[in-house]
Amino acid sequence: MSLFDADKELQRWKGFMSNLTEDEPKTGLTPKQAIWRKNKATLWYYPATEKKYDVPVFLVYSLVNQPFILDLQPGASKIEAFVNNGYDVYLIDFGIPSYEDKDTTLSDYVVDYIQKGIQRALRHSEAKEITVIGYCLGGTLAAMYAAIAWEPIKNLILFVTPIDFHATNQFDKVADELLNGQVDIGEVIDAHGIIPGSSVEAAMRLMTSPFYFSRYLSLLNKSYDKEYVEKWRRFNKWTKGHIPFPGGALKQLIYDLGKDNQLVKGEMLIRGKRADLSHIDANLLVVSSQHDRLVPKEQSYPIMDQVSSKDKTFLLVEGGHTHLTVKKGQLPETLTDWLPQRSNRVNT
Amino acid sequence: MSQDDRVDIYEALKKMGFKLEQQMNELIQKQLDREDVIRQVNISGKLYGNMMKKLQDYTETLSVYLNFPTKKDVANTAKLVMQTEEKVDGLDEQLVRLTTSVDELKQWIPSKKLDEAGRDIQHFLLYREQQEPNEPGKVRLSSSFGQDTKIGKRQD
Repeated sequence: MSLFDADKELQRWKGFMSNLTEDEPKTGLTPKQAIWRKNKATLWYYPATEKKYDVPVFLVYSLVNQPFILDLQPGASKIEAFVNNGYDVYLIDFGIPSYEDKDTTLSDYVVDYIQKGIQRALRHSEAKEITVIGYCLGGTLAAMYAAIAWEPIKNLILFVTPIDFHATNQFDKVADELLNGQVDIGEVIDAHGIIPGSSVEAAMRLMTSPFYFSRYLSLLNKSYDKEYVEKWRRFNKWTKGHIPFPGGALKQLIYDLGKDNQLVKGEMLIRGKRADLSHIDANLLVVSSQHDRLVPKEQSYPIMDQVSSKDKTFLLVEGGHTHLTVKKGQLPETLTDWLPQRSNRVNT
Repeated sequence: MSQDDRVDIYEALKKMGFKLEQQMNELIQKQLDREDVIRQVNISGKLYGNMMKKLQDYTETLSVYLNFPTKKDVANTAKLVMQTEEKVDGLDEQLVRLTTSVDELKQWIPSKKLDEAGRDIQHFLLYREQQEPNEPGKVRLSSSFGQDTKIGKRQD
């Protein structure tokens, strides 16, 4: 038998080169409609294919990247999975900030976009309660919101969410210097006003993988598989799609959350209101990843001891920071049983 | 040689690459996580920040003479649009709340009872006005519901 399969090799290199030659793949293909817009933000509504649950799902994504990762492609889309499983979905897409948004803080995101978005979603859906799901920094924002919310939150789900910012497993010295006040990048942030997307990407790379060429080796290994190439290209578009970060939000993230750890200490003020995690009494599900280098489980777990929720679950799953893939249009395993049990079925 | 026995160079390359990448990343992160490096970066950052700030100030000054808008000017204009949008959004909220309240009222009070309630209020207001002295310019309710009459000085 020959060691060299000419057809396969041709397909492989054709697939590999398609990354350079073909147009950017389309993402966010699940049918949706905008029900509210504010500044650059949009509240998207994804109606359930066949509504089975009374409690809609409200998604909050991170500020460092774009939320199309939640709707990557048909068959591998979290939003599509929710919709196909009978949930109405709302997604607050913060949009891409510009220089005029440089003073926007995390508190502004919580009150002006998340809280208002949830009020709009509740009104639009005519639902009595809502499920709030936060991803990564979006989870931190969701927890901050839940700590001051008066809206009826039935379930709060946090995926790979940093809560205790002092629990780090890398860059210990940097953290120490920051805590001691020896390092201060406030002037650099002020000078920029808004941190460019390329700098955000560089910072994220530095924290996880400064060198990141293995993705191309993974592509080369399987680039004869058209389906794999399609998915890889979409994922690659997301990994390179970092967006600018408002200076106001970054300073609050570094000083209030990173340095003073205010959220876990219950000292954080959001528009003069104390964000008290014990105020949260919704059913709580916290999911961390075993090999997540960006947000280790130690950063997420402390919320379990702070909330008043009687129904609370912590799950540690295999994989890294972006492990939460959808297989065959089904909900992630972490939600398959948990969410339906806590979302009222529609009376038929 | 069976297919399973074949050495897949791409798979091997991938594994080697992953390992090399991990080692290089660990080395870099270890080298960067040092007090002297962090302090040097901090100093450089401050210098860079100051320099940028000065450049921005010069540009602002220059914009006065050369009459061109700066990034700040554009941002200020955009902020005005954002403020207007904020106000419209607030009005929209109020309108929705009012509509909801009216709808709720309609549900709670049948239309016939609403008329009766209106007449009761009318009678009460008329009674109260009769008890109080008339003042010029004071708005009085007429006996017919919905028509207001103004009391003025008699001309005759």
